[in-house]
Order: sequence, then C-alpha cells, then structure tokens
Amino acid sequence: MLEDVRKPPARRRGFMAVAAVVVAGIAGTSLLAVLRQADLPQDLHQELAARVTVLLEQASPEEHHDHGHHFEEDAGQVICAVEPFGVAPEGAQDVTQVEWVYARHMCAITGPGTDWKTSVRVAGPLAVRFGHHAEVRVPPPGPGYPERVKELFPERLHDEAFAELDDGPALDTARERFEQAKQAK
Amino acid sequence: MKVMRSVALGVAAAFALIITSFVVPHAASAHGVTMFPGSRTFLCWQDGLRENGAIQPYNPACAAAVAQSGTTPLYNWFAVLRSDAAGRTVGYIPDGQLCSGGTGGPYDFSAYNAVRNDWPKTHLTSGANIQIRHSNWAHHPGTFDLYITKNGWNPNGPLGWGDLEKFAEVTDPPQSGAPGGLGYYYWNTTLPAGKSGDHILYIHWKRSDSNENFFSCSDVVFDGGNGEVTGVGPGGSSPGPTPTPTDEETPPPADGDCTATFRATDNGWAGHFQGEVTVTNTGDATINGWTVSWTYSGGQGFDGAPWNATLTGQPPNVVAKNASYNGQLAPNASTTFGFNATGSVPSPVPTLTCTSS
Repeated sequence: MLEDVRKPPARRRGFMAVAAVVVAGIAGTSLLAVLRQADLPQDLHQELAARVTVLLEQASPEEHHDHGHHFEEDAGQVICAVEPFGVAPEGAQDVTQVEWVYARHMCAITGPGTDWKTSVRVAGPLAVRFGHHAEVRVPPPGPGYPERVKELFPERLHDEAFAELDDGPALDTARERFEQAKQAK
Repeated sequence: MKVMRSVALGVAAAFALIITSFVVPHAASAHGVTMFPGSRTFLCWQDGLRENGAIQPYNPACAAAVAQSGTTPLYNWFAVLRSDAAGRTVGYIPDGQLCSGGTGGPYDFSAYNAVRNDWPKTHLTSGANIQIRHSNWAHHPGTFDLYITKNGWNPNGPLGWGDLEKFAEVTDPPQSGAPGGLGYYYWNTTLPAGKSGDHILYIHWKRSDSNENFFSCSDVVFDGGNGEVTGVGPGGSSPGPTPTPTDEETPPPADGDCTATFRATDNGWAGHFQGEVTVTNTGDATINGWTVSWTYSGGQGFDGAPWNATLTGQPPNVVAKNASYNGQLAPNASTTFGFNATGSVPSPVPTLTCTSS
C-alpha cells in the first residue's frame, strides 16, 4: 500500500498534474489571502499547499479500497483545498526546514451530491509531517473535538486551527477542479 | 488522540478518518434522515452550508453542535445510523441520546441531543395530512416508524423513549430522485390530532435487508403552520412570524389541456423562498404527463432538487416535468410540486406554461 502511495508512475503523473493545477491556482493569490498568509512566506505557503493537496488526493480512491472501503465505480474523485497556516519549527523559511505543516483542509468527492456545495466532504484542521515518513493527523470529529484540536496544534496556532477556510484561491481552485472532474465523468 | 508512527499506519489512519466520510454514502448500506419535517442534522446542514461549501451555522443551536464536534458529522447529515440496531429502541438507544442514535454510529452526533429550544423548527397543523420526505441517500427496503412526543412532555428535559408515542408506520414507500443526493422517500401521513406547541417528530427507519437502522429527530411546532421552517439561515435564529404566502398567479389560459399556478412563500430567510406549483388538468380526458415551464427574470435559482417533479431545464428557463407517479391526472384533477429556491420571491410571479402528453 505504501509503495502505491509513493511510487506508481500513474500517481507521479497525477502528482505533477495536481500539483501544477494547485500551484497555478494558488499563484493567483488574492491580496486577502496574502495578508492571511502573513506568517508564511508566499512561496513556502504555495509549496506546502500543493504538497499536502497531492498527499490527500493521491490516497484516493484506490488506497481507500485497500483499507477495506468499497467505492462504486462511479464513486468519483477526491478534490481537496488546503490552506497552510503554520509550520514547525516556527519561522521555517524553506520547505526543507519544515518538519510539520499545519493547515485547514476541505476534501470533497465528485461522486455523490449534485455540485461542489452539496457534495460529501470532510473539513477541518490537520497536521502533516513531511519527510521520508509522511504522517497525517486529523483530529477526529465528535464531542470533545475542540480539546483534540488544541492537543494537536501548538497554542500559538489555536485560533487559526479553528478558523474556516478563506474564500480564496485554495477553495476557488478546488471548486473549479471539482466541476471539471464532474463534467469529465 | 492516537499518534500514528509510520507512513503506512499514518496514511491509513488519517485517510481512514478522511475517507470514512466519503465512503459511507457509497458503501452497500442505506443512509437517510428526515428531510420534511426536517431533522436536526438536515436543517442544520442547510442552515450552515455556504456557497463555497463551508459550514458556518447561523442557528445558535447548530453552531453550538458544530463547535462541539466539528463540521464533518454535519457534512454527513444523512448518516445518523447504527449498523447493528436491528429494530431495537428502548435499552439500545439510551434516553437522552435519541437524536444521535446513541454513540455507536460512523459519526458521533451526540451534540445534536442538546436540550435547547432554538433548533430549526417546522411549523405544522395538528391533524393535517402532510407528505413526509426522508432522504434516500442509498436505496434499501425497510419500514419507517413514526413517533410524536406525548402531550405534556417536557421539552426542557432530555428526550426519552417514554416521551414518545407511535402514530404511524410505512413500509417501502416510493422515492423521488436518485440516491446519492437530495432525493427522498415520500408518503402521506395524517399528523396526530390534539397537539399544540413544541413537539419532536421522531422517525426510526429499519432496513429489512440488514440490521442497520436510522434515527431522525425533527423539531416541529403545531401552530397552524403549513410546513414553514424557521431558525434556518441569517436572521432565523428564533422562530419568526408565520410566513405569509405571497402572490399567487391567476391560472393562465390553457395551453393544451392543463394549467399551472405558481405560489411563492417568503420563508423569512433573505435570499431564499419556497415555491409551489399546482398543475390542473383542464381538459376532458385524462392526461398521462405534464410539463411546466417558466422564465425567471430576477436571477432566482433552485436550492436542491424539487419534490414531485423533475427539472429538465435550468433557470432562468425552467422546465419541470412530472415525476413518475404524478403524471396521470383525471379531468379537473390537480397535483402539486414544490421546491426550495434561492433569490427573491419573483414579482410579478412568472407566467407558467403547461403542456400535457
């Protein structure tokens, strides 16, 4: 399963395609988004967003099936919007210095639902550790959720962790890609 | 929180969380809660869902539930379920947890058990006949048990099985709209007589092909209402005035053997309204299908799929055809279809054209 995640040529092509779209989309950063990302250098923000987006999207749907989930043939494609809001160690300026990235995400699947707005999805903050052994942590939903979020994220980032995704390039790009994927079905 | 220490375990566990939400609607299991009268999860989903796909509740009860448990359960509003329920009620779902179906489902909806008086409410008339609509996210046979809270129940205390009385059941009702979206099962039910004020309509859907069951709490108020919803959307944090039906069009001249009238109701939510179209067979012979069309001039749109009709033309040039079950109309017979809409109540109301087949 691990090799499936990291190595298949198809996936690599997928990575490049997704990354290109994500980076291109995020490159059209609005002023609002720039201000929101003030704590992260813009290039680093884009690179982290693209990497996490690909990581999340590349795990589906085949890996999901490997985990015992059974998508139908028309289950669709997972499309994610990712908005990094912090890193560890704090002050990292380059992706090679980043051990952890903290981000808001929204992942929707193109299969059910009628459009982006009503599609089935998950959303919230997550933490990703890069490196040879990638690691993704998502605070489980349900009662006690705020405490689990606080436990996962550094205190300096708690407000950001509870914030919603901005109406900005990450969402716009994901929505556009979602609609293109729906039309391609 | 469980810490994941390897790539395989980390990715697997992370995506188990992420993908569980995606997979549920696709797994070989039914899913659904009541859409009319709207269950807490359905109406909170409607309340909070923004155009960009984010959930940012207006209703304070919904907001509190989201703050307590995150948005992911609400994105899966149709999945208030227990896979091993097998028709069990008392002793299986603890009192005080009826609205979440306990805590053993794929999502923890415990936050939606909160005892509050500001959940979204549907206004109804005791003794009236209404059409129940229940999400058909996935199709499976089964029976729906309908309960209502007893007269004298305490709305300020946890809901228990002893507060409920069963008043109807239906097995394998018809459905409208495809699974995997906003389609629904539907059936007509006469609401219990002698009810007034706040109550909870509770529906327990028991699949007959598996042990999976679904649990829906719908907050209703018997005040002479006709299905209006309050407590949803901006400015809807408390029940507002009973919505007033607005313009109703005089039936236009017959175009073919049917006519259609348009009725719009301001539901108190700026930028949204509810619409209802009545189709009447004005000819001398039975018709076997109808098509109603109109043109919006004010940018109105649909918020979800209509019920009792199928859209074949999108705004501004709307074309709605009969559903599979209401196309046949005897002379002078009528049927209606409805929809939730975005935009302002059209004024003047659009001119409708009805053609029969």
